[in-house]
Amino acid sequence: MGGEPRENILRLEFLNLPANIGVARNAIGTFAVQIPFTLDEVDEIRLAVSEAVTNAVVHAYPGDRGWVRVTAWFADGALELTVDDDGCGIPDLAAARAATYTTDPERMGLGFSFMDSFMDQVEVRPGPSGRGTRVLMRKRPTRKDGETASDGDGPA
Amino acid sequence: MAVHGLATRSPALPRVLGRGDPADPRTPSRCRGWRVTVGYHILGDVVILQPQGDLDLKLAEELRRAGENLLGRGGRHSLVLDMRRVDFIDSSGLSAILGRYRRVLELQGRMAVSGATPRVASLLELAGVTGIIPLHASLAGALAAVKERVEGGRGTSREHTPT
Repeated sequence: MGGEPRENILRLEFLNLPANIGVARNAIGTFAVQIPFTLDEVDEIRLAVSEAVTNAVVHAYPGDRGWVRVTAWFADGALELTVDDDGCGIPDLAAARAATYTTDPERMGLGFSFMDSFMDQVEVRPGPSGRGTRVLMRKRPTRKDGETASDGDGPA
Repeated sequence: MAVHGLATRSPALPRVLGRGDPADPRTPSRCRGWRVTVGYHILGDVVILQPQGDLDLKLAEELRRAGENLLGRGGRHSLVLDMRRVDFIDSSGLSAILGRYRRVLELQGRMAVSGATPRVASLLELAGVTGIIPLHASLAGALAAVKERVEGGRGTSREHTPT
């Protein structure tokens, strides 16, 4: 996971505004259907993207504007994506991954729980530049019969 | 029975989101003008909020604002959240719902959710929300449940089985 992008790639860059969460969610959901995810799986991907981007929007740049980048690609028949910001980073990554962890009483702290529940793999790291946070997620379609649809051979 | 934001429609089955009066300070800010994303109705003690769209951080903030503006004023202590126009919900939306639930508890009122789509309902269940806030298929059913509970005694734990 996290290797060189192959097959196809989508890159989005946007300001940390709440209105952009839906833009990212819907763009990645539309991108994902190029491989044979079920509609339920696409909804799960949209939810995971929403959670990761929301974390960046809410926490990365307290009281300030900043960029959020979402990159998605296909590798080995799976969807992989990263959500990056250049913000303040997460001081205690292990604590942040714990269920119901939150720094805001108005929030439930379910973001990472949902990401873990609905994606096959989730990693949270400091950003590649040393600043900010990178969330990497991976999900493979469970449906087998449509796999050839993505390589042009038609339905099995 | 006062109905703000929806003057002429059946109170039990409002079909269109209320816009509110822009000059009325009780009107949620996003209800002003044509960009209605959280509609509302007021039926006596009960506020009905009708979010429309994807209940993510953006709409959750508007839902929170609408709840703050409308609940706890004029004796309004109970809330029905009409979710029929919500296709998507994430943890921000869930947090907003639970935040309004906490506010209703403070006011010793009641809260119910109506019209949740199967996907939204499944996430509410996964997050444990359905264990504390009852889901109803119809707005009328949710209203009846909340109003009966209120009339049965505010702040009591009387059980009600929706019909």
